[in-house]
Amino acid sequence: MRTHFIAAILLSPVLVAGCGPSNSPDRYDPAKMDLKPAPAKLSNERHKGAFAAGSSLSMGAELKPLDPSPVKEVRLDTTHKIIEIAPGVKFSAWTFGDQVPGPTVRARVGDKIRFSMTNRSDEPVPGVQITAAPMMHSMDFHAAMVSPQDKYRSIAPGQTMEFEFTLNYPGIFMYHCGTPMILEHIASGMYGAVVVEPRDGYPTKVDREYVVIQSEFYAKLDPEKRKVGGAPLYVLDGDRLRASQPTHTVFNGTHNGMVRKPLPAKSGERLRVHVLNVGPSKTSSFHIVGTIFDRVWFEGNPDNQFRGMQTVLLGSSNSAIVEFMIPENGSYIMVDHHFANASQGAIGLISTSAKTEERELEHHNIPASATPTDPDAVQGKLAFESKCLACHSIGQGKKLGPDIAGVTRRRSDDWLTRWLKSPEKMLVTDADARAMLKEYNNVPMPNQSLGDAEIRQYIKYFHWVDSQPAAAAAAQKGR
Amino acid sequence: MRTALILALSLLALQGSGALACGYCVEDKVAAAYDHSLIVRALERKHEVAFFAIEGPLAASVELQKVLRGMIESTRGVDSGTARVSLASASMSFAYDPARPGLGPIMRALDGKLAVKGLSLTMLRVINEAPSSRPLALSAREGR
Repeated sequence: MRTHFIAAILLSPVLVAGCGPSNSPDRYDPAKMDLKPAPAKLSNERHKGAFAAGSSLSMGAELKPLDPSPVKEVRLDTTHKIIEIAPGVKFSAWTFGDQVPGPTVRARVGDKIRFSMTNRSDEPVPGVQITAAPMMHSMDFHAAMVSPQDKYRSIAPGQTMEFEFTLNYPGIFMYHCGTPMILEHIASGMYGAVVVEPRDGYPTKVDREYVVIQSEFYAKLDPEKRKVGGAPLYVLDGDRLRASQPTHTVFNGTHNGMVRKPLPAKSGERLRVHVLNVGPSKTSSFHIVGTIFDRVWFEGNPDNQFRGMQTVLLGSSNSAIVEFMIPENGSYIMVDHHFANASQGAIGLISTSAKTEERELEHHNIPASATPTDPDAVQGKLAFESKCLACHSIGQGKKLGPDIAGVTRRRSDDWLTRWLKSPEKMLVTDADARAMLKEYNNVPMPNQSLGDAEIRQYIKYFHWVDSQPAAAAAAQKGR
Repeated sequence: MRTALILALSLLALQGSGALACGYCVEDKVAAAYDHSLIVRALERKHEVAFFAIEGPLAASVELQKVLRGMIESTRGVDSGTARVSLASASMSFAYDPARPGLGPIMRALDGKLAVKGLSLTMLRVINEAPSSRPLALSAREGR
């Protein structure tokens, strides 16, 4: 009896809604959708020239305004190339449009996408002798309602697939390669987003729009120890992939990429960020430090609205539009609040001083691409950037702890090893450690439970930092 | 009679997907056993590459993969070193000389061997010509 009562209460709003009169027409009336796309065409003609083409494409985080044309020509050819997923980590990737993530397509409900794709995975890359062997690829648009058996067929190198479909629902939809093993194709970089606006546009106005795509990489050093431009080559780690143990979790294809190049904004502006979690295997708790999402449209559809949210949870291939204000000047931190993911690189900034920070980097003569080539030093850099930047800078002065620039001149490797291994023991036995604690307001260095190999990687990275031209001057500041 | 049937099926397969099974499955299975460099080498020698679905009970094991590859490689007419087996997608491929002894006898011999393990083959596709012009020269990518 009690169960029936609870069920009745739970169902009552549904029943009321279902019985009530509906004056507005159903936006999702199948009778008004295009559900009869023309058959796909498979040919042996190879595209030449650009790997991505179309006025509806945005190549980076900044989303271009909607192209009003009702028919969007979209070309996304598949390629194999080496990309840099983190400083010094050159990864053998497979792509749509020769970039990872692939370009973002922007259109609106009712538009027709006229898509074509040549498998160009067999084309050589200038200056690079190493790419994955050519293979079959395909395209799976989540935005389309079509027969997979017709449109999503795998094509061989040199073949071209063409098909059309009409956009029936608004949202942010993933596209990806659907050729077996799909997991490997997605983890190698074959994905992107289609942003579909409602037929009459969004109900709000914003000052800026960005696309943020979260994804994982599973990289290991090439067993054949091949190098790209002097740096070690990384390839897909199949064991980690199947065990869902990524080495890098990133926004827009790069570890901490939008920390190094923040997205610009101004105080008082309203922003719309289109977020897609590609996965392939991890969820995302997307959060922006310093603001609250005024509106969240789950899957990018304004009909799925939440207000005043702190975090939006996205499974693999889920998406959301988040809209929010930039209340005052500052750097607002986009982060996957699963902090294990954030520590692997899923961090970015929206900053009111983005340009200023870039100039400052140049002032310190540290080029954005500067990176060690020694694999241990690369690992040390990655670990440092993901775990230490909250308390330490490199060449930017003191923070909660000392500036790391010049540390190998101030301390011996033995001292650094003991310090990183057990800072609490050092505070008991070492006068320099105690003096440092006092200098830094008695904020102790936490024990990070580092292993010997990790400590060696940190120290190699510190030595690399101090071997750079800018480090000499910076070392003076950091004392 | 059987050879004629196989040839007819091959021709159907070459006409495009969907003739023998759902195109998606065919393409998936072909992709799983696809080795581009092998195909390029075979076509240069005027050889062909055939793709098959493997029907029957398949356990994903390295041993079984080795056994199947051995069965294919030891079949008269199969080019040495060209057997590719995907247990995950239950498909396989190999290159052969269409002139001697041709696909029909190879298939008959293979069917006999696989029957011992309760397996059989379904023809998916034969590649006997390059899908397109050769890859563009390096200069095609430059100047982008």
